[in-house]
Amino acid sequence: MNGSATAIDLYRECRVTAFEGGLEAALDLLASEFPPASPVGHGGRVMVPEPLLARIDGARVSGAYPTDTGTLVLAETDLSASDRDWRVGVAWARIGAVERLGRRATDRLARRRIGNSATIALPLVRAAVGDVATALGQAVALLECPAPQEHPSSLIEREIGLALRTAWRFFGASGYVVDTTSHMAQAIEVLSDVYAIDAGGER
Amino acid sequence: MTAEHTPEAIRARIAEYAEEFRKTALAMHEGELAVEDVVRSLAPEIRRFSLPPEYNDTPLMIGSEPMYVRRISESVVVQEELSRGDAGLMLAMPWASLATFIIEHNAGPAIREAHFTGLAERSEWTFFAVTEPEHGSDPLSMKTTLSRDGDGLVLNGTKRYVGHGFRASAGLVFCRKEGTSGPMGLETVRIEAGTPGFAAVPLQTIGLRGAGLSELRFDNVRVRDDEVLGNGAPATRRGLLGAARTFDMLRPGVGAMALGVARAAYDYVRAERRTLSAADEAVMHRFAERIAGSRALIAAAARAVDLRKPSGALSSAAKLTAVRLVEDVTLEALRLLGPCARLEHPLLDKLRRDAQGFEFMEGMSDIQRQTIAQGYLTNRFWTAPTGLPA
Repeated sequence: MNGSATAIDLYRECRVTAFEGGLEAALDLLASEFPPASPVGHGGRVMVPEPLLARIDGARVSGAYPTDTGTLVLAETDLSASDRDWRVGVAWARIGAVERLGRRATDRLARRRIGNSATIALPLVRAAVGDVATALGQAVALLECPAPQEHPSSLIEREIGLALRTAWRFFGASGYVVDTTSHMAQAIEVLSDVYAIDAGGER
Repeated sequence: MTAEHTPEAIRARIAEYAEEFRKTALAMHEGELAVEDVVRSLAPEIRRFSLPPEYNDTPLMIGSEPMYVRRISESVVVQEELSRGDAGLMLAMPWASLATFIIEHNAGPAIREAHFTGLAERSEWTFFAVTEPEHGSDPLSMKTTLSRDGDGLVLNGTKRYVGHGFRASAGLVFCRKEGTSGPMGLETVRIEAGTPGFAAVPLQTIGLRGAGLSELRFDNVRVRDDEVLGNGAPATRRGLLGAARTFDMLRPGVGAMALGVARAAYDYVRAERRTLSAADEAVMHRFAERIAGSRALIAAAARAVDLRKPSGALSSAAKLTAVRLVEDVTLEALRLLGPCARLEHPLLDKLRRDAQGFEFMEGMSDIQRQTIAQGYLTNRFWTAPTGLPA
């Protein structure tokens, strides 16, 4: 990190930016405070907005993941992942992105009706919304803790993943169609593969 | 919280008392020791936790600093740690009553003085009666009624699952003013044990026996006007709103107690099973992570309260997460200890029984999920330090 902002403030801003402006804006913000090679993730892969890719030597584009606000480009490099702080920052951005997806979902459920009730008012639906909030809340609470090296990262990953899948399910079959919703959700999922805070299976 | 009052320093200090709590846990659970005798045998500093400093001349010392446990973020650490020793005894502590919190913030000087003097000098218990047999703790359905006749105020009704009820010298009763409906007709009155028409009957529970759950019956109980709490106070500090605010503030403590029991079960397995299969080791690893996660969420909810920005949704999430954790850890601990674990490991059996009780405190999990959703959907989940724009 370049040190122009305290880590936790930057991370919090990343989350809010992802919620308000989408993943590309959040990753741009994060990258502005990190050295150019920081976005190299697990397996030497990079997933960022295209303009950021130019900062990484030898990055070869291998895919593109549209979102509701733009596109994230997937690339391969011969480098190894080394910047855990960056991956922690991406975890914050992913939380904001899940919250953005969740807001779209709950807005949709507020418009839909089952009988005389708005779908969002059904107790089972609200309970599931409560589970999304709880999972994200636990992830945020852990990421807010001092001593980031001691974060139980697999729990953070599981909670973000649980919130994502639950929010995604709120879209019903429409979330299964290749469209904005599934694009957003899949981009978040791939981001979590590339930038899991700690790789599963590591010792 | 001073530098010496870090959660780690508090935890280390309270751990000594948790060991004391553990020594009587089973005997108290089995009824071989009277809860009241055990409580009164404890050192004064632990019997006076959370009392205002003017009533506590024996505060717990951490290093060179006295700690009065006046912040929720201190209290949750104490509650977690003591519950790791014995949640039953933790709940039996006179200061653990919700009444203490309400009296401190809503009662007049006379009630406050009587309450805190009784607590500090005689370890007197108090109750806070909300739940009713047919309506749970839904305040809007409440049937306990405060009416006025020619001689003054009269209380009638029945409350159930009230902690400390039968052992208390006095307590608070949540009731509805006769002829009212909706959230604004609710009041809190103080009742002394021995008042004619008042009866308290202990209930037998499968665990958490130190809580002393009771049924309270009020049959034309006379109430003085000055025993109605918060007369003249703003609506936000009285009745339904006041109680909801109190629950928001204290729910992280329920989560902390559940977390303490989860840790006790986790530690028990570690002590009894030095080697585990890889699969079972992975299970334990996940529990260790969830313990850290639950603690972080409880701490966040407690911090929000201390910053005077309590979030009901965040408090509910803290309780929900801890209750789910203690449920899973205690069940899994029984499995990991093998067949007949309940019979061969009575402490673990007690922990499992205790674990089941937290579900019913201050709202069941499905109600918590509704509360969380409401807060989340209206952007009131995070009140501090982070939040999202509406």
